[in-house]
Amino acid sequence: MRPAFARRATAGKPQRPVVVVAALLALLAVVLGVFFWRSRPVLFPDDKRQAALPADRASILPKGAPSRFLQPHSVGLPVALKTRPLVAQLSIVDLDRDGLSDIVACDVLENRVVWLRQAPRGTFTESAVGTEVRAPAHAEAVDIDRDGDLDLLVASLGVMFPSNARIGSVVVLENDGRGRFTNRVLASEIARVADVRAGDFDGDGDLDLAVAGFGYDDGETHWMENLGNWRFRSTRLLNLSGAINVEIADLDRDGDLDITSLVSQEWEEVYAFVNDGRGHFEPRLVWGSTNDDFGSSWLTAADLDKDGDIDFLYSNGDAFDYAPPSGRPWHGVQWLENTGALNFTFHRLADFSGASSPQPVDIDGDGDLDVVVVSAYNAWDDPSAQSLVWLENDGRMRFAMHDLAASPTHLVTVAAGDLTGDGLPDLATGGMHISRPYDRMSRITMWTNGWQRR
Amino acid sequence: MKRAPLILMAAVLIVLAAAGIGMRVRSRAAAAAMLPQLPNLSGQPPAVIEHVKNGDARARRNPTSADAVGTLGIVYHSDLFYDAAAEAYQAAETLAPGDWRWPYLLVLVHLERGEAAQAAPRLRQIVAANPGLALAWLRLGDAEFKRARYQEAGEAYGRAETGTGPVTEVPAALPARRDTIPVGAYAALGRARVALQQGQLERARESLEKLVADVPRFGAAHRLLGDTYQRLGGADKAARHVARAAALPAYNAAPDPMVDALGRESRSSVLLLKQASAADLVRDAAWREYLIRRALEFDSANPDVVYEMGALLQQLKRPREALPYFEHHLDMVDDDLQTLVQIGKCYSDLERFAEAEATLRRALALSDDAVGEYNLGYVVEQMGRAGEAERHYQQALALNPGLAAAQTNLGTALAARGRFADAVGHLAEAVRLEPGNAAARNNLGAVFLQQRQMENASREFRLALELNPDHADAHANLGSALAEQGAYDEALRQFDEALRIDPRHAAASANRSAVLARTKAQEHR
Repeated sequence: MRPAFARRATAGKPQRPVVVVAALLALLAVVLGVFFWRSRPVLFPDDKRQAALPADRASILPKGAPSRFLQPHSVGLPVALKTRPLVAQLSIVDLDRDGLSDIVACDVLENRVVWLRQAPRGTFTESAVGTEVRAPAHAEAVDIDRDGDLDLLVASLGVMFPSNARIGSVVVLENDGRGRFTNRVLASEIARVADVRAGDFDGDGDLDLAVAGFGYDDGETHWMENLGNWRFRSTRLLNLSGAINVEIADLDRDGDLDITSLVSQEWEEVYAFVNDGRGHFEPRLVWGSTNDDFGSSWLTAADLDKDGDIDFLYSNGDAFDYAPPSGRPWHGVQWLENTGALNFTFHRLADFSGASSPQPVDIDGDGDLDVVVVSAYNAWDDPSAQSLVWLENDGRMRFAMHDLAASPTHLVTVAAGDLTGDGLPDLATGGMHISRPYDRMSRITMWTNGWQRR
Repeated sequence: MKRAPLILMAAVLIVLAAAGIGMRVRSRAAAAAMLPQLPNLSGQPPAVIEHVKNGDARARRNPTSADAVGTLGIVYHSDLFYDAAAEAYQAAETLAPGDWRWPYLLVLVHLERGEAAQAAPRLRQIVAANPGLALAWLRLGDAEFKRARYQEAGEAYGRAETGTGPVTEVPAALPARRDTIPVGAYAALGRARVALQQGQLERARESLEKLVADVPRFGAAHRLLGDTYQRLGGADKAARHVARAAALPAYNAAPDPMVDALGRESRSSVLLLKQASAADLVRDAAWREYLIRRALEFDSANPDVVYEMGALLQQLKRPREALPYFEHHLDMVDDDLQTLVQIGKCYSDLERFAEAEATLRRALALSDDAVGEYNLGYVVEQMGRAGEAERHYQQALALNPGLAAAQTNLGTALAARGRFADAVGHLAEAVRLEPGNAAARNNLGAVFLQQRQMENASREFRLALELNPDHADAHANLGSALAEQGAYDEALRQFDEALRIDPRHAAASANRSAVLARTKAQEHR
């Protein structure tokens, strides 16, 4: 009989399977630990992410439905054969003060300023104002000689296409009171002039001038002091090329008129020249973009939020400098909100390729200011690309874009005013057809507002 | 060992493993949720659609990888989907907080949209973590400048001048950027602008003078220096620097490897052509051509892209290669005036004058065009019809008096017919239109030379050589003018310089021999 041996104790020497299992588990723990560490898990991403929508795009509402309350009508001379209209700027103004709104336009193709006189209501008859003005870029109706009638103050580029030549001029088309106009050259052989406005800067009772000298590589913003007898003395304010617009407004509410200049080319800046009331100006950079291809195209002074101070509507949509002139997603419309003490806050209102000529207008009659905008450079091969839109203000300074028209294309200027006498703001647009396609051209178009009749 | 502790240990490890795996899954889900939704791609070219969808798929396969997600941002950014790019960059930054690339690229999105106020704080964070990153300092300087924060801008520019650029690998098969203006020069320009804004004219002058001495090809610096001299009352110096600026390439933004990377990634013809336009035509032609060829590869149905390819080759004086692109464009867009003019120019450059004439007449039948008239004038002039050429040049000038080339050609045509006074008028106008054009100055001087107005001639030749010291014709002509004035030694130096630049310059060689013969004859007497 075999003896019953007692099992030997194993405290000092573990059995092999257990050792293996423990080693594997330890290895697994190490591997998982490393894996866990390297993966840096994102458990609560919402806590870690910043707001996707920057504060300066908070004024953009989702796009609204297309609007069809504006009806287009071609006015003035038709588009001639073999020509491509080039209307640089237009305005709605009662030039002859007969109670009927007219349209005044800068026709670069014909090198003249034209007057589409409304008489009787609904009938527009076009005539040239004065004699030739080479590449007129902007015309302002103003009684510059204080004789009781409206003259036209015209900015002349000399040529529309890029040139460094000093071929710009400032011209007055002087009204004799009977609707006949005579050219008076106030300045010539200067940097190509894109805009000129009148205002009494030195408080002496006559109208001085603010001038945007675009030039090309060289340009300047300057003011011209009225010395009487059609003599002016020019003083440079800023020596930067690409001045497109000047606006005159009392920015700091001190009772005198200041000048604001939009400077494009590689600068893409907005400058205010703050007046001391005697025609001495202090320059101040209001806003600028570091994107040297931003494409500044237009500046309009307006109290957009109706808080009693002057803001600016500012569009960037220029694509003239390099081909192809098609749409660019960084183009759009901005509101530079005056927050006091010459400070302005940037608000993007809309992304819109080729944006140009933003105008404040209460187009829907709800008491707040909306914005109408045209496009001069969009992806025109896409039939849905818009040339005219409006930004509907919801009353809290947020804007929803509504399509208005995809045809005609290549619109560079829009003006708002009551052309039909029904109390509703109508629009007028001008076509600038410097690039293809040429299948949806226009020269001057009136858009009658049928909002209430919808 | 007792079994129970082992079982407990195993259970704990299994729970930990399960927790780890669970967290991993949760993390992937959370990371995937941070990825931007695919944007509306309707109307986009197929290449862009494919590019974006592939990038999205790759990122979703690996949503916790900062590189994969950041690359998705680059895909979106390069195809100009800004909102989606911003989301992707933010997600990548969350995954890899220490990697400067993602916040920097997000800054670029902000800046392209004009959102300098958004960009500046981010840039401060980037430079705080990466104090040597010159480009980030430069962009911070620019952003602060645009917000009129001049002190901050000046400090940032100062740091940009001493920092270094990011190093990114450029695949060997792709063209590298060449001979660009260094980042430090842009920073110095920025500091000078700050000084001018603060009314410190002398400080601006000193720094700009140093800058143009260090980087003489930086046109923007010359222009700003010209402005500074103007404000300091130095009209002559101002004019010299402005003329120098006019002879140099137009302003381009500081080269940025991160921006270049977008170009290499992009399938968007808009971005590719935008970057191409910013590349200097002379020094960076290979890069420019690369970008346009990419645009053509991905958007070949776009007539504007086809046109751009032709236009670039034309500008690079390769008309034989340009012609097929313009002809293709004409197939796509019937009777396009500009294309017909370009085709006419190609034929002219190839000396196929009869075809050039026919094409240009076809163009001008569509519409009046100053460049078309000028080109036609050149063509018929080459065919020996000088009178007709003059009429076309005059018509070009009637349409566009600022067309300097037409002023030049009309002037030289009139000079050839002995109508020197009229010629001088047109050539002087060409100089006025293009003060930085050395050839125009040379032409004007040549007419003065024919009229034996040696002082006027010498002045114009010297001005031409200030603008372009390597203008062989101007050297030769100046030599002739000096020889006529008896300054034989200097004349010989000018002829030698002309022959150094162009060893086959016939006029310089002949006139040099004539002057040597004359001086020998004088010595013998």
